[in-house]
Amino acid sequence: MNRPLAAPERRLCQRLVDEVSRALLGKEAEVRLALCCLLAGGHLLLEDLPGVGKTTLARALARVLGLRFRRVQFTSDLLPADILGVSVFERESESFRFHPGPIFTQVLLADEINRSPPKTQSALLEAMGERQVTVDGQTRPLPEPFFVIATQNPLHQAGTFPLPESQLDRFTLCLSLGPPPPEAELKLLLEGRERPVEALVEPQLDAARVVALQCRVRAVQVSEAVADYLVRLAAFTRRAHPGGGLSPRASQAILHCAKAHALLQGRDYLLPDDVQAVFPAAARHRLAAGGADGAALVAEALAAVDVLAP
Amino acid sequence: MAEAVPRPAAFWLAAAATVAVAPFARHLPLWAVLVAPLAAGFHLALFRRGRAAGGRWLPALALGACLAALALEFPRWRALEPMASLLLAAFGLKFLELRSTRDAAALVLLGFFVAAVLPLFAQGPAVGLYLLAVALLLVASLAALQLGGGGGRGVPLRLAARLLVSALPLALVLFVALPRVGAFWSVPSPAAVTGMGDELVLGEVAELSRSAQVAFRVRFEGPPPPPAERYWRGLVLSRFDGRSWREVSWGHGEGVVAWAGQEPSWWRRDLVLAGPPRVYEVFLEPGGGRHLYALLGSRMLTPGTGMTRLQTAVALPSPAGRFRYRAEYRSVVAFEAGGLPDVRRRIELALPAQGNPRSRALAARWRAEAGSPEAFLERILEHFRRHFAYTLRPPPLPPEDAVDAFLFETRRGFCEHFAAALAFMLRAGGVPARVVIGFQGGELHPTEGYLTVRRYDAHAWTEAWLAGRGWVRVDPTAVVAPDRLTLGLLGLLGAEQVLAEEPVALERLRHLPGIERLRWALDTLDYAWGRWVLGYRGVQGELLGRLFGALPPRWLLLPALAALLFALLLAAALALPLARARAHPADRLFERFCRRLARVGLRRVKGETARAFCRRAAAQLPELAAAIAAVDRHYEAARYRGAEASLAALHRAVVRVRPGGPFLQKRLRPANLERKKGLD
Repeated sequence: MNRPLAAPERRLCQRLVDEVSRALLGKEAEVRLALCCLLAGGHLLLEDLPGVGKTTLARALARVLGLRFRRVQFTSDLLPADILGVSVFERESESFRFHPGPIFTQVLLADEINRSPPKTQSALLEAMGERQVTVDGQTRPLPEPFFVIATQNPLHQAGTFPLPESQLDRFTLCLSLGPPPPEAELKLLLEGRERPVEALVEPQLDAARVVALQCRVRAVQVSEAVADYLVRLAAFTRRAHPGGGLSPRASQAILHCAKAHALLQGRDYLLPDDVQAVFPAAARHRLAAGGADGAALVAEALAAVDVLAP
Repeated sequence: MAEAVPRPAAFWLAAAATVAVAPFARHLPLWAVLVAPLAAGFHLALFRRGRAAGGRWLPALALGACLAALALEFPRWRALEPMASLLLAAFGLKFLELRSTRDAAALVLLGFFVAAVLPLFAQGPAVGLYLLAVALLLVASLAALQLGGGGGRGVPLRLAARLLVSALPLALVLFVALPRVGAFWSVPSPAAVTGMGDELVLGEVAELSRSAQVAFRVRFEGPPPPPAERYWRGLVLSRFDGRSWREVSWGHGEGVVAWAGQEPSWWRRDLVLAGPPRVYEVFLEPGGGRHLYALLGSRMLTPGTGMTRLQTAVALPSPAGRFRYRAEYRSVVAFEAGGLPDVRRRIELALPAQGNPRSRALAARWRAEAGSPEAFLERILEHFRRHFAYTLRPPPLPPEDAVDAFLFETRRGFCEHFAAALAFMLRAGGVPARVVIGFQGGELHPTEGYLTVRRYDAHAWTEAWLAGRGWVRVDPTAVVAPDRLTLGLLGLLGAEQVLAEEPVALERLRHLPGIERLRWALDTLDYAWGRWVLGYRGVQGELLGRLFGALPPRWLLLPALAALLFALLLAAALALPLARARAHPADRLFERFCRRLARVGLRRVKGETARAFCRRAAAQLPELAAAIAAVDRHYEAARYRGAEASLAALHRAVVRVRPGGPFLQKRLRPANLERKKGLD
């Protein structure tokens, strides 16, 4: 069960990061976190201004993992059926036939998710949580693996609907890409890339191997010391946050992501460093609800909680 | 199945057992001492081959052999030596059935018992230190047992040292505060190295004891008496049966003993004293029998001690082992000058009907020729002075007519010969006389001022009763060898002859100035040890007496023990939550690592992981980068990967991180520089 990581596996982990980084220049840390999220079986929320590469990242991730990819542009008039699918009466067979929506894919990019009204947003809920879709009283499983990568614009932009907290909690990580570093931007301009992401990134895995890698993530060894550290971090946010801090599901998600982070580093055991690496991305959006300053609270927690046992 | 003994623990146990039994080699038969090391070695050898302890037959056989050897060695069972030998043998044989940690724990306990037996044989400060070392090794074995295979090689010893040091305050409190009660059972004391017996048999002991062991020490309040006056009276021997001189028992009645604080009527009658009283304190070492020693004209001050009419000191109960008493003495002008009662006179003149005819004839002739007893005495002494020689190895004397043989044939001997022969001659000439045995002389410490009397200072002299003058001390040895009194035995004959039995005594090297100083320093240490540590019972007794009056110490023992128990329980209650919340060993080692780096100003902040801190530290201290990386690696393995085996490696790695050379300190402590500037 707990065999140490072999060299090819370690190389593969690094190659995943490298490939995606070719499509998204100068953002290796974010790429790594995004990969962590997916390998941990979580859903990713990308929150940033338009044009910094959110969609590019999502496409590159899908490509490198060798998964089917669909994209839905969320607009204010998008309906749940537009995502999930619809049953249509067919004359020939004299019965209703289900036309699956774009959600029946392996990687779903929900672009600008906060532009559509809450009803449509909540259509994603069941799919993200249960990995299944219920239409007309019939439940249909989604393909395996299934990831949702949603992007959203900052809330102060006009015409946005903030995501409800329950929905936010279902996103394992929330990343802000930010503008690229100047040298990366320079390179981008000079090279004048016109090629699509699919031409830049070579697939490294396929669905079956992704599932296998997810199994490896679950097998990463967690010592009591690290788990204890995470518990103390969560407890700190609960004391400091007016809305109750991190939920147990959040702690679980953080632990899972941290394990993926350890695996991507080529380790089969967890360090507090892994927890610290994924903690801001995992905690900030959850703590931001209720108008609190999530980033500040995260920084405070990381500084105030002793990594070693007190 | 019981837990097997971890290999390191077996090693520590073997070492502890060997060290614990080694000093007994001086006091007990060698085979008994060797059982433990041999059995421990056997056990280790089995261990190396991966086999458990021997079967059932081997221990049984070995036990039988030991019992047989005991029976052969000691005809008498009820004595200290056979019992101690039995203990040592049993302790060693336990190694043959050392299978589980339980057995090992029992062995450790037995080891403490063995160590506790050693003071019955020897009690010097060196023994105290040695016992501390034994305790250290035993506790280390226990620690190794608890650690299992884990921990570094030196970890058990360090742990034991820490435990012992933290136990020291409690031990001190116990030593000072716990009331000393007498032993609840009596321990037979080991056979005394003969310095002074209860009787004097002419010619039976061919050689005088030549032990340099301390018999007792005396501290004078004021100047000590001159060497020629230092006659320490032990026993007065008045009964002569033709072969041996013995004490006449007068009992301890009121008419016989003047106890401390009393002054019976006979006291003033018997003694005419002059000069101011001078106080002295005697520290009696164990092993010298049960006699007390005092100067003539002494009055005892310590309760329970007294002076007999014979001017010898007694104590009730008679002291076993170390004893301390105070007395005061004045110069004696006359001793029983008023006349001897008839009974006493008959006793002091009594001679057997027959034996030593030539001496009797000579005495009768000389007494008749001399006009007075004094002249008669002078004549005998003159004879000694002219024709006799002092030697520590006199020719043997026949059991019959020994005085004749000594006076007319061999004419060589030491104090006993001269004293016994003179007393015989005096009695034969009608002058009451007796033999006194005790010590003469002693060595004055050059700076501390106390007197050390050793076994080889044992002496015998004669007392003659002369009408009008009372008892007069006559020391025929002083006539034959005057230097014996002024220089002492060692000065008279030299160390080579005197200390033939003790080849390693420092006294042999007295001519070297450094050695002489060392010898005195050791003697001072020994004196302080005896006075404050071993003889503490007396000090404590006085203190308790002052605090609680006449309450016997036994009554104080129970409250003291109860208080101790309460304190221990309190400490346990306070320490238990702390112990429960104690950090993981890897964390403790990492803390130590952090403390080391803090010395050069590198401090981990709370949110900093071990790895991040190590990277930062390695960047700051490139010369230690490898060592710091090792700490990080082993800490992660031990703490986060569950590799307990990495603890030892972590320990080694932490020890190797030694920042703070002068160069580093200068570079990394700008804060100090700034503070200096601020002060300027």
